[in-house]
Amino acid sequence: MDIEESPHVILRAQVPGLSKALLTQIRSPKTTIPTLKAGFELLKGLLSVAPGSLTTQTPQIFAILKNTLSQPSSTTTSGLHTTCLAFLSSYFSTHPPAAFANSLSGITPTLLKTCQERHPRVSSEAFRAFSSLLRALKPIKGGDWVDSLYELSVKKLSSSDTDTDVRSSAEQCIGTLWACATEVMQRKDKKEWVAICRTTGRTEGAVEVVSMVAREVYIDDNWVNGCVAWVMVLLQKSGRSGKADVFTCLDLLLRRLVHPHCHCSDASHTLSQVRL
Amino acid sequence: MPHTPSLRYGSDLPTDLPSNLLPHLRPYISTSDIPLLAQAVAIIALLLRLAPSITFPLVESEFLKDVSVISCSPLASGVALESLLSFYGSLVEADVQIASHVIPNLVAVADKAPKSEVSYSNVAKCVAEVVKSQQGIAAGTISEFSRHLKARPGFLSFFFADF
Repeated sequence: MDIEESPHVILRAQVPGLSKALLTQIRSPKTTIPTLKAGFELLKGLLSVAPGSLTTQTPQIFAILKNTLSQPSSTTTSGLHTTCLAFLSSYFSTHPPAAFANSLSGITPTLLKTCQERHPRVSSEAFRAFSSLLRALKPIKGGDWVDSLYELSVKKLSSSDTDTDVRSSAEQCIGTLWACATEVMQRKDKKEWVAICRTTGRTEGAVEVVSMVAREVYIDDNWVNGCVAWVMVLLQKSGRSGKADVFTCLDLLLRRLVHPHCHCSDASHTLSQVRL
Repeated sequence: MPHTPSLRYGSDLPTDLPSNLLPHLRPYISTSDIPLLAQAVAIIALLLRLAPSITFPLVESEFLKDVSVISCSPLASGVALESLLSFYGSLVEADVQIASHVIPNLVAVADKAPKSEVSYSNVAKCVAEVVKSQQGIAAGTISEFSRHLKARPGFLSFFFADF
């Protein structure tokens, strides 16, 4: 098939018209919740086949998102809010920072508020959107929202009544902060790890986050040694569940101790690396 | 990103880490869960590489016997066998002297066990791994095993195939 006529090229050519029509439809404050939700599902679908195709429409889309997310989350709006936030995650993961540089400051305060929503799915989806944003902006040197996001995540992790899903996305957010805003995080007191490295309750998410951080960045020897001690406690726990990941985590930590500043490769190659 | 570097030229592990960590790996050195065995043995091999002089005596006294038995088992295959081989490689590099003891030990374990419970191919691969890492003992080992050739032709052919 001629490349110029491939479905993908044809679709891309349709994006301006399609998005204009769609945004006109959902821009009005009177738009019903189901229509708004379907609109953002469609936009998310569009990004999955044509990543990065909404650069020109960014200011308009962010304005609609801001309005929508500013309304308090209730049983009727929570589904809409999670859809909007999931859209935002895929938006951040498919657009270059230049595409949203001018619109970002408009939406981060709203997103931070959304992280604190009572509805667990909304809150955890907001943390996930931030993780996606952090990945897009790596390396991050600073910013008010980065500090606020950190404080918020720590608050969620330190509280005993935080929902499991929210907890795990807040843990991911801390890990992503370390990976993408390392300099900012080095200036903090690292109290988040006390809240993450628990030895009771579910620990799978924490093991995943510690592995991610050990693979990507060097915090300091104290951190690695503390995590090794924590992993030793996990190894003593009965039951097989999650043990394989605990071993992978241990492997990454040991390598990080010896090679503070190397970027460890993917842990899936762990066993072969031992032979060097 | 490609994996870098020879780990032995990095900084040191905390000196008490191997002695703290190894006891926690002990329960996993068994054939009851082969995937976890593979990971635990890989961690021991890694410790032997990262802190050879501290780790070696602990491994020799606490682990070597059981690891030898497991190495001869047909249950040790695939990734688990890979880890065991890396274990022997690291062990012999951590202490040259051990090479000449590891081989007769492995053979003794294999000889004692019931035939149906021994994987001669595993034993041969482990012996070959030891020799590969300490080539100084290659000549002696080959002449030793060529005497067994008549008794166990399969053994030696595996050995040479791997070596």
